[in-house]
Amino acid sequence: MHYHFAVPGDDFARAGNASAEMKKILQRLGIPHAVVKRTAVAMYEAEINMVVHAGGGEADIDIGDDEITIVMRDSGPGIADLELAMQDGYSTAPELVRELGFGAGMGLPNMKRNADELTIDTAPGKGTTVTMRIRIPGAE
Amino acid sequence: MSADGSRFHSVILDQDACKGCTVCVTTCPAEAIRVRDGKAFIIEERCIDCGECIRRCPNHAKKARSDALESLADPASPFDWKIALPAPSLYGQFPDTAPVAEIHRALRSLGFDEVFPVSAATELVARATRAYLARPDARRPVISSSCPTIIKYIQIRFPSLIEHVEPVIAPMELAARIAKSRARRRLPAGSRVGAFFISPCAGKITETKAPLSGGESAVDGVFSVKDVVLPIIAALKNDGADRIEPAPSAPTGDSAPEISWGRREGEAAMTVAGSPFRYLAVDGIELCAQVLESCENGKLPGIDFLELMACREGCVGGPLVASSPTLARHVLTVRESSAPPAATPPDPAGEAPFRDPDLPARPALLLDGDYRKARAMMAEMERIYAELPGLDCGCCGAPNCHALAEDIVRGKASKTDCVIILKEQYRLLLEEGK
Repeated sequence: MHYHFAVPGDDFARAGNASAEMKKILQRLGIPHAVVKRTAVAMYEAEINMVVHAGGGEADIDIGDDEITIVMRDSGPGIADLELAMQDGYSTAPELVRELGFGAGMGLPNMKRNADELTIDTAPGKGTTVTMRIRIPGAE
Repeated sequence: MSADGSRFHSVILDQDACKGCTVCVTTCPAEAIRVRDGKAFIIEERCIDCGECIRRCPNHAKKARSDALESLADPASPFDWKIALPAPSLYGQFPDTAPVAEIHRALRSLGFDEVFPVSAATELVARATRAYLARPDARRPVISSSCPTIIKYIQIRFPSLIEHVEPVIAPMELAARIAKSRARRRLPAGSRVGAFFISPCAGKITETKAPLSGGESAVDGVFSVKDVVLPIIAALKNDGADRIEPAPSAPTGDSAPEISWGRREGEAAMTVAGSPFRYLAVDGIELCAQVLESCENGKLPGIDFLELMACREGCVGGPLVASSPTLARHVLTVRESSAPPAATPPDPAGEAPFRDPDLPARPALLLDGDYRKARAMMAEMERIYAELPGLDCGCCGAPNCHALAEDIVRGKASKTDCVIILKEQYRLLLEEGK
């Protein structure tokens, strides 16, 4: 089953709507709470990143037999140093965003922590595609 | 399904008064109401007892299952010593010129043998919460267990946050236990002691019939605040010879921090007083939902305690009060400004205010226990939704087009319940007939 969300880049108040929506869908499917939470948190962080750094983007979610795949695609500036960006606390978020309580440098580390598998395809000027896989335990 | 037999909620429908208008359907925060066959119907496993439908219904068809005041005078009552347990929000219903002690006297004159204010149990609950907050294993932010509607909402919508709810019982329950054990020690053996809560909300009624953490409640009956307001006003005016003196041992419960539990932020402020803990106090189900969403996303750093009240302004905004929430909150804060600054809690009589920490999740949204079947239903739901007009008008009896799609997939509704689709089909039929 497939879901598509456009993540608006110009409306901070709506950042997080797509992950909240996904949470309700996964609850209807009876996915275990811990997995719902991990999926929602990973997706929420990716949504916030898109809004803060890339002017929005697209979210595509596939709910398969035994895993959930989240693909977050943007055409933003890309990540210059991915290794650095993956470190806890490293942030390039502007001051204004940090004042709002975001940009603590935990976005990518939190995605990595909550997803079973995280791959990032990025290059400066080419945008970023984050793919996260979360396994559904008990589904065979 | 009979609303009266429900263990899950205390909001009931007056079938005769209901016109099937869908106001409650579209404003229910839990999307728990449908109109079927011209009458509102509560999906009981989804109802969180918030009472929004009681506030909204233009025909006053939604009611709470509280007891009738006349039952106090019933000679067949199973109790020979009746204790009133007024919620702190009661004191917001009368002008601050009537002291709390006078309100207690007036309440007693309605047929109670004793008044034990719930406010008198708040300090013990606050201490227990503070002790729990100091434990390194407490999941932060710790969520207050005072509002049963919020806990139900968490069980349904935010099950991963259940372990954040403090394992502490609410003041109502603790007050009932203390009041009854004190009365039993004082009264002749074999006395049948009953405790009756004066409630601002439906959530607390359910809490006495089916406590969230299981077991039996010590509360034997519930009267609504709005049902006692007029009799109390009458008794307050009558300050003549028939005034009854309070039972000598009853705690006053009238200090500022104790009565402040009736309004938003009273509980949180008293709980963290003298400690380094930081809190957020939130009122209204919508704002609570936003904060719970942030909490689940791990976005409440540095917050130790969450006071979440489903009603605006806190318990003074309950669906079963008489006064306007803002005014009642104002009256409480005026009372606080001239009340004793510190509480003297009653002897806890060995009652520990802790409860079994296990609260079950309530998968009220689940489509089917079989994952593949649920997924197929979900896919069908999305397919149907794409064919619906997306106006979320509520005319079909479901709160929005998504809910109608879900009801159709669950076999509880059909596409022609949608007036727009029905109209289109009718138009096609007319054209065919030409």
